Amino acid sequence: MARSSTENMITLMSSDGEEFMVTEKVARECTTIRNMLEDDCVITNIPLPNVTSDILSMVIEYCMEHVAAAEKAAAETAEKGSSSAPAAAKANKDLEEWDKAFMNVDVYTLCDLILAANYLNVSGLLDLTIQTAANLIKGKSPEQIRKTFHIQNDLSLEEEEKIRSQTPWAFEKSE
Amino acid sequence: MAEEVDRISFLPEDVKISILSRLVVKEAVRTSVLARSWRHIWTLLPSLRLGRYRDSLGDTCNDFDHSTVSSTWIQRVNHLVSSLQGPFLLFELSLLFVLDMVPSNLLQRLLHLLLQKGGVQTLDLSFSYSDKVMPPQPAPFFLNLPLPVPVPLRLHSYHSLKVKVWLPPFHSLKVLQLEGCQLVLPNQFQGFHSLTALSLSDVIISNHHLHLLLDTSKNLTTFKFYARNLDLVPDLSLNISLPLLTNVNFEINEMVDKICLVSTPLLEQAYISVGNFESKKLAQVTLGLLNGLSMVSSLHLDSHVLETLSLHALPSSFSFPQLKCLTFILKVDTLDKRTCDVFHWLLKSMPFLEELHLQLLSFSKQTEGVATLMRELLVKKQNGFSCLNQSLKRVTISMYLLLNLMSGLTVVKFFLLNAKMLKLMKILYSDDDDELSMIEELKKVEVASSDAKVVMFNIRTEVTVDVK
Repeated sequence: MARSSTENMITLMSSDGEEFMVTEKVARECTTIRNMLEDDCVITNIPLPNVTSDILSMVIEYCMEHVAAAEKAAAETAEKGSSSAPAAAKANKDLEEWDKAFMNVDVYTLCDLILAANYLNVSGLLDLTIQTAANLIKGKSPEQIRKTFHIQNDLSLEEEEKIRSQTPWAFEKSE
Repeated sequence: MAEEVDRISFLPEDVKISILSRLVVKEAVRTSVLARSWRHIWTLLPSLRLGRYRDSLGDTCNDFDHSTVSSTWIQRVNHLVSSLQGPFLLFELSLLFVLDMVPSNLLQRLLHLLLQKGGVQTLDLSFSYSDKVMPPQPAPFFLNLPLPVPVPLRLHSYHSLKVKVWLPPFHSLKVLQLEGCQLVLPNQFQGFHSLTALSLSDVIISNHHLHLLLDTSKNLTTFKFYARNLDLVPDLSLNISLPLLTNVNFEINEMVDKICLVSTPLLEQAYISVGNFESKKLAQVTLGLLNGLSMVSSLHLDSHVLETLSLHALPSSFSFPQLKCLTFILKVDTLDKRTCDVFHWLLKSMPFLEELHLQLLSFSKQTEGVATLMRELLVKKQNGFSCLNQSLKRVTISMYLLLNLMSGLTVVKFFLLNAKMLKLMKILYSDDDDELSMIEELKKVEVASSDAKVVMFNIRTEVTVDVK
């Protein structure tokens, strides 16, 4: 990624004390950080006590990839006067593929990423992770969902029966 | 082991709600038995989309739909809505009714239930009817239009619009979309003051109620009105004055001459279709409508405009001084000297046009229409085609619905030869048989603009060929 020397660098510190140097542009992908920077523009060191280093490095990886893709698209538009639709479509498809590969994580990491994306307010990542979680629920029976996400069923058999009987249509076999 | 820990149940409530809102209703409700902490999450869903709709991934969902919508079905929806805690931001219902099975009174109860839960900002009710379940219609032929494409009509007759919607006073309503029903406003209607987008598609409404709806919705920015049969609003006479309106989208067979844009100072985009290509009944486009459109920056028109406008009635001084982008569906079979004259008049009245999307369409291989058009354009380009000399930068010629590609090529050549400011000529086609001969032909053309780029795009294979 092209990086101009005048670009501000920001240090993000994870809950376990690891430091990550990122460009201001990448940091601004997180709305929470962008708001901090706008309130206090001299801030260069931001502690993030809710995010562990392994999750933070993933969030940064996501932001860098998306900033680079946006910069590339903007450069092409500036160069050619107007962006060509097929090239833009291909770039979008590439980014989608990247997102898809990025989401190849276990449910434990996925939930941590959701929490981090929610806390840092990275809308694209939040959308992606939430959709991924929804896809893991889609088409599964309650038992399969519990197994996928390691959910402990703390309802008694009678309680579960009672809940099912309130909305029996939701539990019918799909037609 | 970390992998064995339940993390999802401990996510914040709003995150869990967002996950559930990406599931079909049945699946969201099923999560109530996962564990105690999941018991009531689904009842906090802020939106409900029932029937056939496109989900966040663009896939068609069929949720809660039934080919024979019955009273028990509506009761089930009633139960669902009463279980939800509200307020609702969005309520969308898209149903296929089999004739004579329309439970209007139950639907009414449902709307009142929604009113009690409060907060409805988007209401989208779409009904279609059939005496049997019909296969889905093929996609319409407009593919690359800047504005939404009309949905093919699924009605057998307008007399069968049996669902009556008595709209309760939803105070926070921002978006209202109705399709295939009769609309009745509440008594002493006070208006939807927050309404910004209104879409009525094959809706039976009285002229009085339509006026009332528009006159009280002063914040309206988008108005879409599809009425493909005069029976829908028999006494239609619409004078539109909306201070914030930016987009209009009219598909109004037969009665476009009853619509007048009296005062819409912020209007930017207009999509006007005055008849589908099978229909013989055409509407008259009047000066009242054209005058109202004169300040738009983006305009969509089709061939029927040419057929309904009469050159004698058109003032030569008329112009679209702000118009930057024109999309025109040109049916070349029916072009004759008269319609070509009107087309010329239109282009002449757009002196600052920057972008032209011309979709050529033909149902026969004959090329007379295009030949007439080219003859007329060439004769007339001397006296006033200012956009060719000063502003036209991007031209897209779509030929994938044209039976004779070579005749379309003469249109392409015209713009290459005469548009002096041209930056990009894009040719869309789908058949690759003539591809090489087209490229050969194009290479011979002397392009008027020195920095024009010419590309051909095959919409079927999505391959772009750079010609110059």
